[in-house]
Formats: sequence, structure tokens, C-alpha cells
Amino acid sequence: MRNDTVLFSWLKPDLLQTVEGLELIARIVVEGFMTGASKSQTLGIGQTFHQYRSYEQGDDPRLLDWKMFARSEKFFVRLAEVETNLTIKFIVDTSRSMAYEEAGLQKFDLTKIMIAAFAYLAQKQRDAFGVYLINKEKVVSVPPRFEHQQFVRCLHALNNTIPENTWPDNHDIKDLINHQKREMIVFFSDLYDTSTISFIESIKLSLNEVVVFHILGEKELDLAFEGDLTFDDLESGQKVKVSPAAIRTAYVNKVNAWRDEVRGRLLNKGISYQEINMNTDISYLLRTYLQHRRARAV
Amino acid sequence: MISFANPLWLWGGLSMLIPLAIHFLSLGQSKLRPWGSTQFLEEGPMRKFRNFRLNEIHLLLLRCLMLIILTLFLAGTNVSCQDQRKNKWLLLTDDFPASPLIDSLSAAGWEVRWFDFGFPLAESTIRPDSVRDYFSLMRLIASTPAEEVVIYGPRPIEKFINSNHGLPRVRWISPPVKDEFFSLFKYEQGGKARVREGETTALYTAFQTIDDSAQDFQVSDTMYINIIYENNAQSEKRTLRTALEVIERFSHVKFVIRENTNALPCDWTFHLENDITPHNGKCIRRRECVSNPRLWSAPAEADLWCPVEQHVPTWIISRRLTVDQVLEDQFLYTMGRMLLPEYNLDYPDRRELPERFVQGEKNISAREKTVPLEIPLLVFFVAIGIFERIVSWKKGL
Repeated sequence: MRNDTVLFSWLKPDLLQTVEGLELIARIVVEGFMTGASKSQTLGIGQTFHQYRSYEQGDDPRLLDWKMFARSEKFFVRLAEVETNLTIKFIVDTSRSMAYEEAGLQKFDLTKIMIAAFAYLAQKQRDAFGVYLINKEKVVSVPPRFEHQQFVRCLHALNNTIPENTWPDNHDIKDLINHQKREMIVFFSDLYDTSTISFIESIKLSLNEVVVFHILGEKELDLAFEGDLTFDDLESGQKVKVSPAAIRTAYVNKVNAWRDEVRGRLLNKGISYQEINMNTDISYLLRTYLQHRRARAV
Repeated sequence: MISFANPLWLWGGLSMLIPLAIHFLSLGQSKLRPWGSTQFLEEGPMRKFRNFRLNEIHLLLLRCLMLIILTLFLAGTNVSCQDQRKNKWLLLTDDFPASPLIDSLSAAGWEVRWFDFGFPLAESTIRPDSVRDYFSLMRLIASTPAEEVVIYGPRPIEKFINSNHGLPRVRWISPPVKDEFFSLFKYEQGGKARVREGETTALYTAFQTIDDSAQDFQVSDTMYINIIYENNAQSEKRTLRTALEVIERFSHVKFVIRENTNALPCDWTFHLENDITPHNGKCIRRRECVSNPRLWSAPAEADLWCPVEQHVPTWIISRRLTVDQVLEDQFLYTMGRMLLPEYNLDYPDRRELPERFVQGEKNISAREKTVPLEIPLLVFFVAIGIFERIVSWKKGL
């Protein structure tokens, strides 16, 4: 049972298909999550001057502008815009398998909600962020920027993309990786294609942080179906007729072995791995994201 | 044995083609489930596919079975089953001397009984001296627990076997008959004496007129016979008719038998009545010995056949006609000799069973009980229907 039932009831396809809807959901998710936890991000030491204000009791005396005091004999605190110290890149596997649906929600829909929420959070935290939507047919890029419009730009890109085709065999990663600046790459995929894992391994550098959100459906894990079914592979189109009850144990064992293998492989490379069940509470995902973000931002 | 009240409904069995067609047309199609990746489902697909197909075939068979049951129900299926009887009886009509047949059947476990009411065991009782009623006895056999019955005795006239249904398996075996030669009667016609003689052997029975100087009767292909009877003589009339049919069967003359009519032509008239109307033609009258002394008075121990007077072709039967009397060969021969100018019977071997009797045996041996299957079929149909739904639901088809 989901903890965020009220939110989940908002996740209707027609709402998810619009930028406004997605933004609304992101706001609900983030504001609800951050209530009582936010503090001004504009106050601090930075290179870009923002304004002076009178010293108030309780302000750190180290923030006093002594030159200003020399001129005016009054205490002023110098405020500067906090500089963006983190670039976040959301990379999404938009292959056809991300269209897998459970309870009316596709894996890609869940990804969109998560990116919208993360991006909104990033915007509030004055992080630069961008989105890369990748499949074999096309790559949609919204390079990271710290602008007010960036959030809407990302949502627009997400909404104009539908999962199709497969993951590219060899994707050119030179545009994705910045060797000069530390950044955080958040990757969303179901990792069914082994080349996806190779790709993730290739983008992991010592300078950056890579977080993988492995999205799996509840039924993909336990194959809890009654009766006989024909399973239609979304990417290859292959059809397999099986009696789920007859193969459930073997299937679950295989999937568990595969999950362990993927997790071990990524963790060995120093890549953060987070498995997401499509039933997972979104606030839990945000908490996970923030943990990684803080670790990187320090 | 299965029979149908409305066999036309059997064409409904063709409705089985519907699920078959659906099955074959929908091969390869089933409830489709989009899936992220089938890589973990692919191992051993043949086995799974086979399971899947097997499930579909199970359902197909159930559905076809339902249609078959429905068809059988609508066609009004009945099942005939034979009663299982174990006993075998050998019924003796008379106290025969030792016979190999009786000995061998006894040794084979057959119970030897008397062919009489109650069918008493022959070894423990003496032969009852009652007058047999063959029809009743044959019906009684049907109600006995005997599985197979052999009646050993003089073969009754075929006509009297009748087509009684529901009898167990009955065979009638006649013991060998001693050759016998007898003189029937002598009479005078046109001043010449004619003698009718009969001869009966194991192989045949024949009659002939031995008088070279005798004139032959005019032989006609058809003989018209009137039976005039009273209401209380119905049984006698039936017996007489049957006797006439037997005689007709063994002769070459066709009998046209009419009842209670004065229509002409008429060769012979049978009177089975008390008040005899004067008759000028040839006639046979049944009179009980002292019933009507006006016309004829005979002593109580008179012969069965009594002439009224010489040279008059009018005969009186001195007793009421019963089946037993008619079954006596003498009666039929005598009457046949009177009716027919040349009475030469094509008599079959008395030790063999006539073909018709064997056929009749088949009819009477099939003691069958017909059981309608409507309710069992209906219950079966509902049960299969529920089972089909459960299987369908379980399989998710």
C-alpha cells in the first residue's frame, strides 16, 4: 500500500502529459516534502554581490562588511548570491521497455514525476540541471543551466518524448561528461539492456557522482499473475506463452540473481544504485536523492 | 443399446465445429500482457507453450463435451440394457424317457423343470397333470429369473408361439417323433369309398387318399370360410382362426375367412353358437355334447369329430375348442383333411426349429429395459459447465 495515496491519485495520464500538470505535481511533492526544512539560499559568501542589509542580532559577526563600517560607521552585512556549486544531469532511458505499465502508470511516467520533483528541488537549491532523453532513434538534450526557465524547458522536453525503440548500442558520451567540473548524474532506466549498464559504467568518473534509479514493476519482480498469459516483449516484440504459476519460482530466482548482479556491478564501479519499485513512496525517492545531493554538494 | 427419441437433433452435434473453429482460428492468440523484457521467461518456452496449449485443449474438450451432452439431451437419448440373469432352465413338457439332451444340459448346470405353472423342479415332483395354457406359460417364463430357457417337448404349431415381447431367451427343442401310420377315416362319396390316410415320421407328415377309383375333389385356389360365432365364443373363434391359418400355411389353398356373414360364395361354415341356423352347405359345428339335443345328441364320451349323418358334409366338434386341443396334431390334420381335397403338408423337420421361430426367439430374447437419460445428461451438462467456468477462471482464459 502506498503511503502517498493522495498524491498517487493525482497521477493521471492527462495531468502528466502537460507541463503545468507535471510542474504542479513536482511542487506538491517537493513542497510537501520540504515543509519546515527550507532556509534561505541567498544568504552567504559568494563572488556575486547581491545587496547590503543592516546587521541584526544573531547574524554571524564574520559576515560584517568592515569596509562599509569604516565608511559609514554602521554595521552592514554583505549578501551575495550563492553560486551554483553542482550540476545535475538527468539521463533517461527512453527505450520502449520504459512504457511498461502497472496500475495505469508507466515507468516513464514515474520517471517524469521523479525528474520534475528533483528538478524543482534543484532549482530551489540553485543547482544547474539538464535532461538527456536517450533511445536508439533520437536523443533529446536539455544541457544543464541555472536559469528560471530551465525547469519548464526540462518538463517540456519530458512531455514531448515517448518511450520507443531500444537503447543505442554505442552512444557518444562526450557531450554528457564534463571532465572539468564535478557533477551529479542521475540515471533512470530499467536496465534490461546490458549495454545500458556498460554506458553507466563509462560515464562514471572520479570527479562525478552517478546515481542509478533502477525502475522495476511490482509484477516484474514476483510475476503474480493468475492463469496463462502471452507476454509481449515491448522492445523485441517477441511473444512468450507461459503459465506464470508454473514458472514463478524459477522466474523470481532469475530476476533476483540479475538484480544482485546489476547492483554488484554498479557498486563495484562506485556508482550509487537505487532500485525503485513502481509502488515506492515518492518522498522516499526524494530523501534518497537529497542524501546523494548533499554528499556531493559538501 | 442407445436409441434417440428425436434423432434429427443429432445434427446439432455439428455445433461442435464452432468451438473447434474458434480454437483453430485463435491459435497463437491469447490474453496479451505487455512486458518489459521476456529474457527471463524464455528458458524452456516449449514446455510452457505445451502447458498453455494443453490448458486450451482441456477447455476445448470440455466445451465440445458440453455440446455433445446438449445434443444428446435434445435428441432424447435412451439407453436399453438387458437384464442380467444367470439361471438356465430346461423345461420338459412331458415325462420323457432318458434323453442325451436332458442329461447333457443337466450336467451343464441347467435346472430341469416341468413346463407347467410354477415350473416345478422335475427331480423332486412328478409331472403336473394340468391343462397347459401355452400363452400364459410363455408369459410366465418372462417373469422368471431364468437367463436362458430350453423347452423340450413336441413342437407346438408355429402360429401359437405368437410374438410375445419381453421373454427371456427361449428355444424349443422337439424330441424325436416315432413314425406313425394311421388311417384317418373312410367315407363314401358318389357311391365310392375313399380312405384318407395319414403318415407322420420324424421328417414329415403327409396325408393321402388311397382309393384309385375315387374322384378327386375339385381343387380350388381359394376357399371361402365363414365363422359364425356368439359373443361368448370369442376365444374359440380366435383359436379356430389361428388353426385355419396354420392349415392354410401348410397347404396350397388360400383361405378367405369371414366372420358372422352370409356372404357368398362360401365353401365352409363354422358355427360356434348354440342356436344353429339351418344351413345347407358344408359346415362344421361346435356343439357341446348335450347342449342342444334337438339337433344332435351325442354321448359324453363321443369322439371329438362326429358326423351328423352319412353323406352329409356337416361335422360337429363335440367339445369347446381350446389351445391344447388345437395343438393336438390330430385336430389340425383332421380338419385340414376335411377342408382340403388333397391335404399334403409341407411339414418341416420336427426336430429342427423353424426359421421364423428362431427369428421370434431373437425378439423375445431381447429382454431390454429402456432408460431415458435426460436427467443424468442435464445434471452432467450443468456439472461440466460449472467445471468449465472454474477451469477458465483458473487459467485466466
